[in-house]
Amino acid sequence: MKKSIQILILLSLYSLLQAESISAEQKIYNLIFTGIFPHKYRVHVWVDDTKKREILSGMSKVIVVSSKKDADLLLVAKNFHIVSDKILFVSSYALLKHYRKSVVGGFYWKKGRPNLLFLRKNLSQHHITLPRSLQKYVEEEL
Amino acid sequence: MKWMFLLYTNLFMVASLIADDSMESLINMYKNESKLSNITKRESAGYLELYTRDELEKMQAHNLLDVLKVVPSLILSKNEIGINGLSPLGGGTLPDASIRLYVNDHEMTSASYGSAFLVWADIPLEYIDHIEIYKVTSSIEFGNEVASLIVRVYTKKAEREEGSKIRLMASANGGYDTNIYNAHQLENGFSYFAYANKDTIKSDRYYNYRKGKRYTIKDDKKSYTLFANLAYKEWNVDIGSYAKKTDAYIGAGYFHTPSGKGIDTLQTYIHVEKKFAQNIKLQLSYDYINNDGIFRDENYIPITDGSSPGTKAVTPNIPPETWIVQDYEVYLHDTISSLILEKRFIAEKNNLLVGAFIKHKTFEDSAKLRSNVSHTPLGFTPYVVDINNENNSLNLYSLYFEENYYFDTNTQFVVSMKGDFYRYKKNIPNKDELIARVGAIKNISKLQIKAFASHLYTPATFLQLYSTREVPQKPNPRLKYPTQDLYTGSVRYKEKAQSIELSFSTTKIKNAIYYDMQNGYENKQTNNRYSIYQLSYKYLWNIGNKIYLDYSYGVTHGQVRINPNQMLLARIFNQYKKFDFYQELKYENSYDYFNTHLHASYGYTSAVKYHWNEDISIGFRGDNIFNTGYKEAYKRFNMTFPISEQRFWLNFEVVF
Repeated sequence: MKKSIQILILLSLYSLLQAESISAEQKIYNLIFTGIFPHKYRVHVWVDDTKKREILSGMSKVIVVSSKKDADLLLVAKNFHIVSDKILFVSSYALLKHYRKSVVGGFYWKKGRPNLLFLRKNLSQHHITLPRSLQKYVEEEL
Repeated sequence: MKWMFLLYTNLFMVASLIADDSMESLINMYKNESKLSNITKRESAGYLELYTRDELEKMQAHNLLDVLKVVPSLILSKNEIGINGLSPLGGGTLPDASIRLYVNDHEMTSASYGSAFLVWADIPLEYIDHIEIYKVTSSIEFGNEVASLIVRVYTKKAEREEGSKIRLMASANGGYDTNIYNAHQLENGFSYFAYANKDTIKSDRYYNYRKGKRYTIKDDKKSYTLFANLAYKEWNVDIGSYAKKTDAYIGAGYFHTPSGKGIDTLQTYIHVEKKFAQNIKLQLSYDYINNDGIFRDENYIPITDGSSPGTKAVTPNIPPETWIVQDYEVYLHDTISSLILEKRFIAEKNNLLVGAFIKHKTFEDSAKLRSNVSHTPLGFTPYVVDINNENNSLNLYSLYFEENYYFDTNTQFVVSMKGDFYRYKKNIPNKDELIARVGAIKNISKLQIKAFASHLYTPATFLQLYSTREVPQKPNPRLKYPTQDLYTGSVRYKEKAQSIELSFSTTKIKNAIYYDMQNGYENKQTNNRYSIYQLSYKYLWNIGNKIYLDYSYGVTHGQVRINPNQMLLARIFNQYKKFDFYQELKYENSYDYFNTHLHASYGYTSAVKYHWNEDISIGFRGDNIFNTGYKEAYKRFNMTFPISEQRFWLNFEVVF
């Protein structure tokens, strides 16, 4: 019994060490999606950019969908004309400004560095309470 | 049981360190993984020395010379009139035409000099994201004119910079460097990045004496840089301008007694790029270059020119067909128009680039000489003479391909070939030249082996072609383009945190061009050969802490060694809480330059930066802190001069 516990511990440690094979960007989106949807095993995401689609496709906790209506979340990278009541998340500052009244947050480049930001008011509209680890990225307004 | 506990504890610690998945550390990892340099670098293009944005920021580098002085196996040099060049260990300065400098995809070319590296070697860096230096290359995949050394600088991108930045630097001797940029993305898909820089770099003062009078030698520089990038969908436009005034430094005079003036340079360009479907890229560009060199020396400047009445009888020191003057003014004016068309064919195992370009280069050269009898030791009456007054143009047509064949995931073959066809407007015979390169890259587990063989040439520049002593002046029809055969190989062993690489290159040059006081530029009858060995070690503790060690050794194969042939370079980057640290130590061994012996040099440069918060930082950089760095000597002059002077800079940066 003792030996099998030891083997289990070693195996779990080994898997922890191996877990870093996915990219940092994928890990970041994992944390964002699990933060927004803590009770979903897999999140259905619609995305408007080929590169982002490739990144999300390699994530075990994400199912990339081709129709917005099947999505839990819309990840917008370039489209300024989206009208939807789905949860919106963006990947550029220009989009964050454009959708500031509805978007829950964005992971984007500004001032030469990547930034993560959630908007409290829009999170509340979707009844989202982020885990403590993401609370420091929540802002009242843009 | 005790050892099991220790094992688990250690494993947990290692695992938690590696799997530090806090959002903050992940964002830092993402920043590192998504560096622009990861996208642009080409491992197959030559020996790459990469200077990432993070490294440039820690170095607090403010102009390109801060980087060029720390390129393993290359020596940053400066000639008598203050123009910078690069030399391989042990060897002479590389010809201007063999070094290509790019800002993004725009090649800074010149008709007079063959390359505008000598104009752009000291550009301010704040608008630059990262720098790639490809040594012993002949790769044509950058669509360049032929080169054995390629310096590529990439500007910051609007999509990442949204916002503005101001940087102010001030040196202890009164110099300053100040700049601002702004970047913005609009909702219609248009984005821009705009940058402006003004600097005044003050050099140390040196003094030379003749006939009881003191002459000041200095190399001050004042420059303005403007750059804008405009992007819309698949369109990309770069507009740049660099204007600078530099002092004459030691000058053109025989006794090194400069009496003022210097070089006034302006280069302005526009580069338009459009990407089409099917991996087709079209580039159009236009460059305007104005280069006015005005040299004054009251103890005389010897100018070799066929129209001179000759002074051989007057003194044996002065060769025939030489003007003896106090003022020498040379005006060069170039324009370059380019059209480049490329298509890339990408298949499972192949990546084939096919391209063609046309460059139209115009060249105008005029010079004015003035002599004042009251100061000349010779017996001429005062005169003003216009010499040269030449102009010509060149159409350069080029066809090229580069094939990367991936035999399997660990084996890559590279074959490239380029035909260059030079068609001059007048007086110079047409030239057809070929460059070719073959090579292979093999990965065996943690080992990478690279081997390349290349044949290339260095085009003669208009200034070299128009250096004959005939009157009226005619270009030299006998001047051949020097050819080079390059053989390179390297072995790299890389683990997660560290890598060690041994590389070797040998270069054989046929018909090298040299300057002869009587005949102007001529081809050398004997072949030159030099070899470089380099051992590099890199260790990365984590993203913010790393060390680079490079030892390089040059062999000149029987030729006179006029530079150090050994270099040891150590660079250490550290990060601790809100502080960044950078240290560089460079050793170069002693050498003799004609009759001057120069001792071994130990250049030490250090920088520390404090980040007040994410947006504001203040830093301090000390160059050549102990004033023991590399020095150069010049012909007929018993003084030595540091290439990188002892200098202390305060640096303030704010982003908003």
